[in-house]
Amino acid sequence: MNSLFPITPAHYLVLSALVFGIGVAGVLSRKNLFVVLMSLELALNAVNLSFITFSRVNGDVTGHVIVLFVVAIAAAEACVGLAIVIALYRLKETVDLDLFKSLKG
Amino acid sequence: MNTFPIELTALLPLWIVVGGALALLMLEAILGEEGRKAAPVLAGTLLVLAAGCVFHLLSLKGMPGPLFHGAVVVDLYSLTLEGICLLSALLTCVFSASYLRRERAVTGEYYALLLLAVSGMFTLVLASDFLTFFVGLELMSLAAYVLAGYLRVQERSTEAALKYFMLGVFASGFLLYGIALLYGASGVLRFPDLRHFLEQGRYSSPLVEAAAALLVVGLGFKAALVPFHGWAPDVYDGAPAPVAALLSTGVKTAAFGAFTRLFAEAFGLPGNWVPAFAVLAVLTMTLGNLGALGQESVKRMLAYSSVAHAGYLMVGLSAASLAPTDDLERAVAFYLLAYTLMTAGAFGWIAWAAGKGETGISFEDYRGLGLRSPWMGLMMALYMFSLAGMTPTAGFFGKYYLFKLALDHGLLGLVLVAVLNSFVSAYYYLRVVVSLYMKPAEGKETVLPSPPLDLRVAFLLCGLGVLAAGFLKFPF
Amino acid sequence: MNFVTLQTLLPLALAFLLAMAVPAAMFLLSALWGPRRDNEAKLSSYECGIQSKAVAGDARHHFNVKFYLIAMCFLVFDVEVVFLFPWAVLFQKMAWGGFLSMLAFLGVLAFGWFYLLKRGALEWE
Repeated sequence: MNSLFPITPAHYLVLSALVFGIGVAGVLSRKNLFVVLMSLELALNAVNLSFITFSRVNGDVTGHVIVLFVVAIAAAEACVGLAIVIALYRLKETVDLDLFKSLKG
Repeated sequence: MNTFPIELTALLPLWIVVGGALALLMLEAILGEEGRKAAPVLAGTLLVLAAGCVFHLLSLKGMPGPLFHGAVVVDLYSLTLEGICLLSALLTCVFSASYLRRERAVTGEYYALLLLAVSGMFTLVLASDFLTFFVGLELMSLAAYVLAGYLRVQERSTEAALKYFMLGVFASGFLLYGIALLYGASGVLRFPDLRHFLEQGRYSSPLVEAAAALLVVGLGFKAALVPFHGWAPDVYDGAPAPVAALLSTGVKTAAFGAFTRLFAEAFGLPGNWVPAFAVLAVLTMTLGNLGALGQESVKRMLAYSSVAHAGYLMVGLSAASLAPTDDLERAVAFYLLAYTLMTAGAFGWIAWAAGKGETGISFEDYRGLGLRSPWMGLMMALYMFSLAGMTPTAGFFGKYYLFKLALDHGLLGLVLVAVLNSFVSAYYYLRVVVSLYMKPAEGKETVLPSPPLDLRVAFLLCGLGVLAAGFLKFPF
Repeated sequence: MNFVTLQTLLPLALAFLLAMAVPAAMFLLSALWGPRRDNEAKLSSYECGIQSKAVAGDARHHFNVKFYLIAMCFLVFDVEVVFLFPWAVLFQKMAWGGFLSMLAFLGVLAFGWFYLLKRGALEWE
C-alpha cells in the first residue's frame, strides 16, 4: 500500500509492550490499592492486544479465543481482588498499600 | 463425537471434584445449618472417591494419552501429580475440620473452595496446551487467594490474601505475555507442536528468547523462587495454618509439576538455560535457608523452608535439557510426594498445636512438649527429620533422586551447594526437635489436648508415609 | 502488510468528530437558550444511589457494601456471556456436541445465579 503512514503489526506490538510496561510500573509504584488493581488489569489487556495482533498475523483464530478466556478470567480476578480490598478496608479503614504491614520479618 | 466416553472416564476425578464443589455450595444454600455440618464429611468422601479413580486409572495397562484434541493429556505423570494434589487436599480437609470448629468459622463454602482449588490443580497438571495451562493455573489461584483470606476478620489472614493476590496476578501477567510471544513466534499452542516448531532450529529467535525469559519470571513468582519469593513467607505465615498446608503443598505441586512438563516437553530446553536455572536454584536454596535460620516462629520458619525446597527442586530442573524427560518427571514427582507428606504434616501439626487464634507458634511455645505429649511430639519430630533430609525418610530419598539426576549430567558444583544447604537447614529443623524434647518448659506446663480420631489418622498417614515412601514402588 | 492505513481510518475519524460535535452543540444551545431555575439539590453532583451533600449531609460517608456486591455479581455474569459469541458464530458447524457443551456452561452459570439468590446476595434489605 502506498499510503503515508502504513500501520504494521509492529506498531500494535510496540503499543502492547508499552501498555504492559505502564501496567507493571503502576503495580510497582502506586500506593492506592484501587490504582494497583487497575494497573494489573491494564497489563492483562495489553497482552490481549498482542494476542489479537499475532492472531491476525498468523491467520489463525486461536488467538481471539484466548483473548475471550483472558477477559473472563480477568473479570473473575477483578471480583476477587475487589472483595479482598473491601475486606481489608473494613478492618483498616484505608486503601494505602504502605499501611498494611502486620506481616514482616 | 464418538470419542466422548473415554473423555468422560479418563477425566472422572476432575468431574467428581467440580461436581462436588457445586454440590457443596448448594448444600449449604438450601439446607443451611444441616448442610454446613455435613460439608467436611462430604468433601472428604468426594476426595477419597476421586483418589480411588486416580488409583484405578494408574493401574490401567495403557494410558489414555492426549484428549480433547490435545488440550489435556492423561499419562502416568499427570495421574501421579493428581494423586499428590488429592493427598494434599485430603490432609487439608482433615486439618481444617477441627481448626475451623475451634475458630468458629465453619462454612460449606470453605470446602467448596477447597474442591475448586483441586479442580484447578487437576486442570493444570493435565494441561498439554497453553490455554488449558493458563485456565487451570488461574482456577487454582483464584480459589487459593480466597482461601488465604478466609478468616476475613483477622488482619493477618486478609493481608496475606492481598499479597498473594497482587503478586499472583502480576505473575499471571508475565506468564501470559510469555505465552503471547510464543504464540506469535510459532502460531501454535499445544506443547508437542511447539516442541516440533522449536526443533527446526528456531531457538534463537528473539521472540522465543523473550518469551522464555517471561515464562521463567512467571514460574519464579508462582513457585516462589528467589528473587521473586518475597510474598511466600508472608502468605504462608498469614494464612490459616491448614490453608498454608494446601498452598505450600498442593498448589505448589501442581504449579511445579506443570512447569516441569512445560519446560521439559514443550521447550526441550536448549543447553544455554542450564546456567540460568542453576543460578535460580542456588539463590533460592541459600536465601530460603538463611531466611529460615533467623525465625522465632515455627510457622514462618516452615514458610521459608518451603522456599528452600523449591530451590532443591530447581536443582533437578536445571538438568532438564540434559536428562531424559521420564527421569526428570519421576524425580520431580517423587520429591513433590515426599515434600507434601512432611510439609502438610508439619503445618497440620501447627494448626492443632497453636491453639485458638494461632497464638502458640514460636519455638518457645513448644518447649518440653514432646515429653508431655509424646505421640504428637514424635510425629512432629518425624516430619522435621524428613524435612532435614535424614535417612531413611522420604525427604532423604527425594533429595537423593533429584541430586543424583543433576550429578549424572555433570552438575557437580550445583549438587555440592545443594548438599551444603541441606546441612545448614538441619540446624533449624532440629531446633524444633530440641525445643520439643530437650528444653524444660518455663512457667506454664501446657499439655496439648488429644487430637480427634480423624486428625490422628492424618498425622499417622503423614508419619508412616514419610517413613515408607522411599521404599514404595513408584508408578513410573 | 495488509493492515489498516490512515486512509481507511478516515470514516472513523469523521464519525468521531460527529460524535464530539453533537453533544457539544447540545450543551452549547441549552446553555445559551435554556431556562435556568436552580436550587441547591439540583446543582449538586449526581452519584447513583447516594444522596448529595446538599440533601443528606457529607457525601463522603461509606458506600453501602451492597453496591460492591451487586457490582461484582454483575461484572462476572456480564463478562461470562462473552463465550456465547464465538459459539454462536460456529453454531452451525458444531451440531449437538457444541449445543450440549454450551448447555453445560450455561448450567454452571445458572447454578451460580441460583446460589446467589439462595444466599440472599441479591436482596437489597
